[in-house]
Amino acid sequence: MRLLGVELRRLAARRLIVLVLLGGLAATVLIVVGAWFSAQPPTEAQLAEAQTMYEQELEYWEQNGEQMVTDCLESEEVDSELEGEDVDYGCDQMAPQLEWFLPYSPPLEEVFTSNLTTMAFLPVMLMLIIGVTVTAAELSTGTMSTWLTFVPRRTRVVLSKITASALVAVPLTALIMALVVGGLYGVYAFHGTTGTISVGLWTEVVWIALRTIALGAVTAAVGSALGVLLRHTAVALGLVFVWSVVVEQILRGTAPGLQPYLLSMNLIAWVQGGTSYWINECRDSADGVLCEGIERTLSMGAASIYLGVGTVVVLLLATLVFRRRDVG
Amino acid sequence: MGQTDYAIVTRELRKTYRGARGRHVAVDSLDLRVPVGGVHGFLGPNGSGKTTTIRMLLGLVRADSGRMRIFGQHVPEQLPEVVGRVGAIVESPKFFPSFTGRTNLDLLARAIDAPRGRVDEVLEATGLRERGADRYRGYSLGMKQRLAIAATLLKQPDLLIFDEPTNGLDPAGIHEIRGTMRRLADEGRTVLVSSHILAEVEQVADTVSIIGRGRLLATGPVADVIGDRTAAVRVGVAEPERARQVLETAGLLVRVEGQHLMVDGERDPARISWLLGTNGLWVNELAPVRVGLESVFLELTGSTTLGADDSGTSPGGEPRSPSLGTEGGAR
Ligand SMILES: Nc1ncnc2c1ncn2[C@@H]1O[C@H](COP(=O)(O)OP(=O)(O)O)[C@@H](O)[C@H]1O
Ligand SMILES: [Mg+2]
Repeated sequence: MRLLGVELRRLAARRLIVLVLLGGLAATVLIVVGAWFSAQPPTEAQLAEAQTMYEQELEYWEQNGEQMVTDCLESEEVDSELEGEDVDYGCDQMAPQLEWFLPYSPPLEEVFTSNLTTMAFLPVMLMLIIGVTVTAAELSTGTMSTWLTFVPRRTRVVLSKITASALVAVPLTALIMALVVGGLYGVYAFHGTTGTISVGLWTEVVWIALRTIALGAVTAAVGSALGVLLRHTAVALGLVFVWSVVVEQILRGTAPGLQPYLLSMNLIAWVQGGTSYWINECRDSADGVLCEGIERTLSMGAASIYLGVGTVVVLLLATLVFRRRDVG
Repeated sequence: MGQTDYAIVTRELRKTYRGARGRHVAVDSLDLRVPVGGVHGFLGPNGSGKTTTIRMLLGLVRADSGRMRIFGQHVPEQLPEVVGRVGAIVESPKFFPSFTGRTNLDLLARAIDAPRGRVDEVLEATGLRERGADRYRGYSLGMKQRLAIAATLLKQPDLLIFDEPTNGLDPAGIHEIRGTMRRLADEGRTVLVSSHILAEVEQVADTVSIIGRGRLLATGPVADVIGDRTAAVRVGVAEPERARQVLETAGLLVRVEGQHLMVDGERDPARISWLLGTNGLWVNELAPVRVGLESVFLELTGSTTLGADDSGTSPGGEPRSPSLGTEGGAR
């Protein structure tokens, strides 16, 4: 317990935390500014232009609309018979709308559900950096050996460092998430385009944030364990980057069946509360091999087990290795 | 003497490192005994295994085999019980560069639950009070060393282990460290100081152990171990190679040092001058000098040089004994 307190103090004294936080703030500002542009209501000129194009389209529709709908319904019927199931070509939504001719600006509801999960990886990546340096910096500079001459119980030393980085990750991730959510809401409120946001949506947003905070803490802990195992910040970060961005992307393309076992998919499933992926299922038929895309889901529960087991394995490995290793 | 009369006892201590060319022995059946009280010099050339031994004692590296005790407690098993009595600086001081000296000490003090005010006391004692608020990064080598000593004092240790503490220091710094070690010993603590320079330790140590290639070569009071072995004669001569042959034939131990010859084991310069003169070699310099560890090694082992790349034969033309380990001493 005393050691944990000392490690938290050490972290508080490290400038790195401030740097990471500044990086997080800068990225948050970029996100919010980006949202500000995309959420901006159309300008007078854009409106006028859209209006003209809409009117032209409307004119055309008034002359040919009826025929177009008839054609549409006809091909819908023909194709339904061919496929053996109902197809929907959206024939009743063919009348032109003004918004077709305006730049698309996603409603806040959409930003909060789909974009937020992508943005959640910003604090998570920052927590990885913090976690890794907590241990790697000490091993590569040799301050760990000074520390061990004061605190020779290695298990306690490594666990206190891992726990400390997980703990500092909580307020830091929470802060960044709060700024992102608050910033996005603020932008839409400024434009007056928040629309009505249901209690259900807010609950969803809060859950995403909470799961991100938990992931931030776990990531910092795993980062510290990787720092112990690999000893150099750049090596550990490089490994994570190469794995998640290069190796997993290649695997995703070459072996789609492996998708539920990819780290990146499980991270997304955890933050989003479940996700889905597509695989091709092929079977032999009279006309040769017939393939169809099938959507599969990866549940949040499955992802939490995957990530939980992975975390425990890495932490255990780091502790065992650190107990035995020669420290220079 | 019983076990507890020794601050440190090692028995058959051994450590090998895995290298590109297979296993490499750093410490080899080392039996080290450091008596309680006084300064004990731990001497050996670079790469002889001093730092490795110290690291094993502190539980930083794992011994392959052998036993170690500090104040009678088995280490590394009982290190948590005894570590509070041991202050150590291994190789160079290692602290967080971006933290102030005080913050660095403060973290260590909290880890061992040192009483409040202890940090101020040790800063004061090491003359760092004024600079405690400066970043460690900006410290001079001497200040870094002082901070490291301050850190060891946080524990009020009974045993201090300093691994080559004067490396890189200027003469004033060296003098200061020596004074510190003497003072600590006079306060009743035990000081183990390692060095590859004999003169550094000779003046301050009460007892010494000398190791070469990870093995103990000699141990005991300074006077007994080093005593009068430390004299040699430096010879300047126009044809050093021929002069070496002449002197070696006469049974003297000779090393070539640049343009000079160093003659060990013969304290009468007149005999050297006569030997060379009768062979038509004219001496342009003949000076008795105090020599370093090398000549002590020479006498202890009969080896002509310490280097790994030495060639030539030992006196009497017999196959020479293996040279002492300075090879691979990249650390
Ligand atoms: N971490 C290490 N890995 C491999 N070899 C090492 C390591 N540390 C020391 N050695 C080797 O062990 C031998 C003893 O080194 P060391 O204990 O540092 O000697 P000293 O402190 O007397 O100069 C040397 O040959 C050195 O190269
Ligand atoms: Mg050394």
